[in-house]
Amino acid sequence: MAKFDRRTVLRGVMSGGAVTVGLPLLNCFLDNNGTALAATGESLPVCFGHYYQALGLNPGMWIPSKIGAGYENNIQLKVLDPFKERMNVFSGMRYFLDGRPHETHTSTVQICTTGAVFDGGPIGPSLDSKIADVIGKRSRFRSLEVTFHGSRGSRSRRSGSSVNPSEGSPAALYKRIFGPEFIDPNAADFTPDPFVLAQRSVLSAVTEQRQNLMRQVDATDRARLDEYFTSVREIEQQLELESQKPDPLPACSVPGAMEEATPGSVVEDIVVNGRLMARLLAHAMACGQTRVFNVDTGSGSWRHAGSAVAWHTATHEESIDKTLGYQKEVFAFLTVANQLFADFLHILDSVREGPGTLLDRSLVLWQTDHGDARIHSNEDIPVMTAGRAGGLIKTGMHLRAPGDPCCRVGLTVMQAFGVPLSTWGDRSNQTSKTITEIVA
Amino acid sequence: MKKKRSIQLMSKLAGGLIAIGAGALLVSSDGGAAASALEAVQYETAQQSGRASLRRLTPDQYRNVIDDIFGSSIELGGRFEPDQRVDNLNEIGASSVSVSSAGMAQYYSIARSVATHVVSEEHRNALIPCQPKSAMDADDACASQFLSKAGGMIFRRPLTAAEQRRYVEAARTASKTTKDFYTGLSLSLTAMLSSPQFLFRQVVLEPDPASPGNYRLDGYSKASRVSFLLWNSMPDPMLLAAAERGDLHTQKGLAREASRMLASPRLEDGVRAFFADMFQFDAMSSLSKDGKLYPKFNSMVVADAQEQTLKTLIDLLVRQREDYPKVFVVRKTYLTPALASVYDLPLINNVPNGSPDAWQPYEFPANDPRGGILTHLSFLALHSHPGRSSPTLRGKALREIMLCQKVPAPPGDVDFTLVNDDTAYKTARERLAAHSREPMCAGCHKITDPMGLALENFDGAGAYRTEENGKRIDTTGEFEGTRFNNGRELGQVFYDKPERATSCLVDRLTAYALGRTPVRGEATWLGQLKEGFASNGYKLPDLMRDIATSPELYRVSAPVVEASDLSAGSRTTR
Amino acid sequence: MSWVQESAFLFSAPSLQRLPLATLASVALAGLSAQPALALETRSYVMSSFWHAGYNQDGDCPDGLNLPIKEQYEKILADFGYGKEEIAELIAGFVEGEEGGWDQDKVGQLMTMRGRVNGRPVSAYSHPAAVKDSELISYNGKFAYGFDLDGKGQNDKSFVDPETQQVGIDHQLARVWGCTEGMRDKVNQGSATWLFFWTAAKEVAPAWTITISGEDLSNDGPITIKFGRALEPTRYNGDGSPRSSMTFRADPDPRVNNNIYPGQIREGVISITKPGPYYNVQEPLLAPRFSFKNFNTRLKIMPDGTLEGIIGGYQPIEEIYWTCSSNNYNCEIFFFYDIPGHYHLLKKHADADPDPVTGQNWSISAVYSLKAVPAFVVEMPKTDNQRVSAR
Repeated sequence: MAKFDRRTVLRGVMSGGAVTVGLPLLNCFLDNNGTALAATGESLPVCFGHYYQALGLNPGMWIPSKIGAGYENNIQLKVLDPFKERMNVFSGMRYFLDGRPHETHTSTVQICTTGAVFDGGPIGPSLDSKIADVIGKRSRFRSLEVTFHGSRGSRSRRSGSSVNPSEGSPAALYKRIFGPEFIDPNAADFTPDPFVLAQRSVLSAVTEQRQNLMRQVDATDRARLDEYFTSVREIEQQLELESQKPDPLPACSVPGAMEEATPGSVVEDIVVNGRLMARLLAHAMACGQTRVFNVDTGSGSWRHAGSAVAWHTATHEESIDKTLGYQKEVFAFLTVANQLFADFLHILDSVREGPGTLLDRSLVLWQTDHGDARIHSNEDIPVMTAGRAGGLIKTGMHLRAPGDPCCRVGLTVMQAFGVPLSTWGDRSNQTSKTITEIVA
Repeated sequence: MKKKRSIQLMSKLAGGLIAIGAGALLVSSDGGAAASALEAVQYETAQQSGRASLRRLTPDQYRNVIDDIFGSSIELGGRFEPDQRVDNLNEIGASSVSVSSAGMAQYYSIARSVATHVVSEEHRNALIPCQPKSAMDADDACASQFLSKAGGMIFRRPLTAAEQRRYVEAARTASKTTKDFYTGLSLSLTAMLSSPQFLFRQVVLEPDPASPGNYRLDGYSKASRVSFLLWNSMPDPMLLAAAERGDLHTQKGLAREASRMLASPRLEDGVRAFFADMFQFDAMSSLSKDGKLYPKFNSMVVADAQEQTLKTLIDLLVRQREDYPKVFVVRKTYLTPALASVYDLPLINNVPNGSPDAWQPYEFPANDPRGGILTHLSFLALHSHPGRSSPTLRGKALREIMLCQKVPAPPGDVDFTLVNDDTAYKTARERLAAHSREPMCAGCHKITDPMGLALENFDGAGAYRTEENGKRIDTTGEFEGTRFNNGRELGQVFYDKPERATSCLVDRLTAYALGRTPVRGEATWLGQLKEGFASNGYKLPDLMRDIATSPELYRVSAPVVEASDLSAGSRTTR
Repeated sequence: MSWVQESAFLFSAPSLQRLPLATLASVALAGLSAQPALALETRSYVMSSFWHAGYNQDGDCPDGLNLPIKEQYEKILADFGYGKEEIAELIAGFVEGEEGGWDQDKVGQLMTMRGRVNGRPVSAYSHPAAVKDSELISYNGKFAYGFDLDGKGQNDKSFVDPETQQVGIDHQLARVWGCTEGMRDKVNQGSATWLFFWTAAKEVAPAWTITISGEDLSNDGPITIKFGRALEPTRYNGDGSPRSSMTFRADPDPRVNNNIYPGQIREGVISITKPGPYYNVQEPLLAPRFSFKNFNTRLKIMPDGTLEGIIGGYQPIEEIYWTCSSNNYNCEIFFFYDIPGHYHLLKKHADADPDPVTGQNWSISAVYSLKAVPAFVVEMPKTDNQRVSAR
């Protein structure tokens, strides 16, 4: 039998290895799966969010020194310490241009959201749309897009020409979700999806063979078939759940009416808007109105009141502080932005649903456009995930894959949500290497 | 433990067996009677022939099968359960793995994806031979037409009447529920693709008329066995037809089909799958190197390194029909620009700018330190530590993978200090010599290190070097009495004395074909195969033909009933 | 591709034996037909970083630095007669738009058309001379990297090289960039603006190649130096370091592959003994055209096998000006320097190519810093018979 090297399994360097799964008859793995399934809550659906923050993080100040589980956050991500056990930090990966023009802020956003290199032609759907196709079809909104800076722009697109526009005003978003069309999901009638019913009936063509087949094989193969049928049974159970009226959403409540906030790119307004948007998204998910969201922080345009120097401008213009060794103004913007991301997670986490929280059944993918905004590099790009997607994703790790395409994270996340994909990304960004370390 | 009681099947069962499933039996022509008479059977591995077990499709086999049935434009998507290596081969592991719940979720999702694509507007006209009376309602006739044809390929044998009925009924129910013929059809197809008869390669036994008292595989099982061996995919329609006619039970018929398949370019898929398994290239996917020491080494280089060796082997052994020992000295290979930079070699990427890197043929010069697959990155880097080379790992891999020898595992309480002391001992040879002063260690290191040290001119990522820590590297050594000066010459020794490596290849390929380690009773057969291999000049396709046409490949031991199971129903293992 | 088609393996010809890295193969560098065919050692490199060679220290601009672009705009607007409140309002509207671009706000319109020809507004970027000189601050420090290009030794305007302490250094471009924040470079590691240029170009612009050949490159002696351009961009590793030992096809365009000079290695330094003209093209963002007169080099082969040092000569100021002006207003606020203002500085400090009538110099002594890694460079002669240099 294959040697099961503990060091190999525990190694944190993200190598896409097949070592951590795949010995299905070992009880430990079955237990793991059992736990994972239990953690999904069985009745509460998983949610996905894409959180886009332009301009990267400060080089040298975010990569944890330790690789693997039990990492310590570096200075800039200390603010995320409360979520460390439920997050993953990825470092070392990059975007590939393969000789295509380096359209700063455009090429790289496009790669991280759609996997496609900028070449002027149409580009495929963004990863959140692919996930929404799987988990968002039955909810009222397939996905909700928001910005923190009042813009209608969005990083989410259904296809090259079809952008999913964002809502920039919390008041408008409130009306859209909780206006007259809102129906309390706990009071609503339930009609099972005929497609789910049909799948259930058809699967019985397989499971009915169980007794016959089991009688026909020897003890060894019987154990294997037994395992197989147990696995099929779990799919049936999932379908059964989906065809019944879902359990009440324990945390669903309609937030109080929302006052119009000040849109724009002044940091102080952004922080207020960002928290309002987070609350609205949290309520929307807690009430089953959507399962997918997109956030564009609009960070490139952030500025302080009375100052014309936007964050993006500062990355180019500001000199590196002699004593500090970094761009002071840029660092200040980043501090606000990272705190806001932490606030965002706190708000999702404050929605308690039985033993877990809304954050536990969600996965928030944090992505950015550049590794070092000062020179707009596309190397050593920070990527983070927060939440466990109800147990679909393992967390608490810093994983480093120098030189690998960032698309590995997108691929892994999409696969975890059941998007049927074996590879993702364009040209050198293409990858079929799932980050198995985080796959539960 | 309960006493086992073996009951010879033959005495209990009349002829006319059509057995489905692993290890044996049992849907007889009269349905449940035979099944109820015998609840379970088990092989005695000490018998003349080995046990035949269900083998789970590998990811590549799954992809190939879908391509064969529906065409390569059908998207697969999803992530497969990883393989499991047993006795040096995943193909043996395939006989013992099952499907975990996470894996089943993936299989189901892939099945849904495939089925959805098949019935999509883009594909349905080409793939579905009829049109329903109404697209919004069930149509048994059309469903039946499609499902029996597709099912015959998915199960790699004709559907039984009961199966046919059941899947048409499933389509009917689903079409009515969803008010959509094609949705219903796709769901029935999804069920087929999720069924054990598809995901596992079935083995059906029947008494061997040519060898009374022994068993053989039925025609369809034979067809699968030969096609997965030669093509790494399902039998094509001609082979299924030959199985139906019973041709595969005659030596002539079997030889004719084998010849046809060996002449096909698809043989390359079979050879590729075998060597990827034998050389343990699945471990490549988890291979990573210290980025500071080996900055060029990333996952794309790893993927290319594996492909380089497979391309080299296929060109040499299949297209050029050269003898197997040449793999240890072959200088012709293929490279990508990224690989060439690790090899420190010039290579023109002869494609327009902005195109992905292309494969280019390359030949190492005669006096190059490289030559033969042992000097490929796929061997050197795979059998090294993340931050340094390892003569021990390389020597062990040479022994176990290339020569089928067994190197004992190190004891648990070894002190590795000396092996890692670069200050006192500059080269790996010096460090290992110091380490091997421990008598407990010396025994095994004597087996692995001399050969591994021959490759010390290549660092942990496979790049060429002449010095380590400023000291010149000594790569001389001896293999079974023959001296060599470096890794290339070690390859030459393997070429000049081909007995061990070729014998190993026969053992591995046979195990690969059988899906299990050969049993004692098969020793004579293995001996014959080895003699044949040597006398035909070590041509791999000829060896594959010999194995594919051996009656031994299809002979399985007589099923025996395990008494303890007679009264038991299904039994869980957890 | 089948073996039959590839009957001639490009790199396996006996004369092109590959030897271990430490040894260096002696082969002819195809394309250098003037050189003897054998007994030459050749090493090729591909450029992995490139920027203006700056040497700026604290306090070397005693009059302060040039204003950030927005403050500069305020000044220009005041010159145009806008009142304080109007200016404040205009500048407040000057915010970055989405997607990394900028809205064509009112300031943008005004600044783009701030040139005046016969009183009529014209594009400041197309007609920099028609923009009132902003009288930007010049660098007047003691040090700048470079060469004594005119061979006249020390004079009022020359610098001292901070590395070699050589006097009489001609590098007037240092005066132009030296007091503009984004262009200041403290330790020859690239200014912020140049780093940005380079990051945008390095993986997509066809690479510059450097080939050195001589009897024995490990010792002092005469050599031949060639600068050219490849068809492929330089490649980089996962950690951002340049990838060595890649193979590059030399661009067969004769305009970019004729920079061949006699030179020498002396005490490990590679220099040109007979400076001549240099012509190349680059990524448009850096410089669509890149040419020098009196081209010279001061390069060293480093212990790790890479090449490092400076190159320079007299460069037409229009080439330097083009670098950014072609992108107009966006570029001005992207890189935060007053483009027409620097045009006036370029003209002011230009020190070669005088106009026969006006006496205005149109070229400026300029020095750039480069790093290069070992590479294989394949010449692409007119025939199909491709050949390769070995390092």
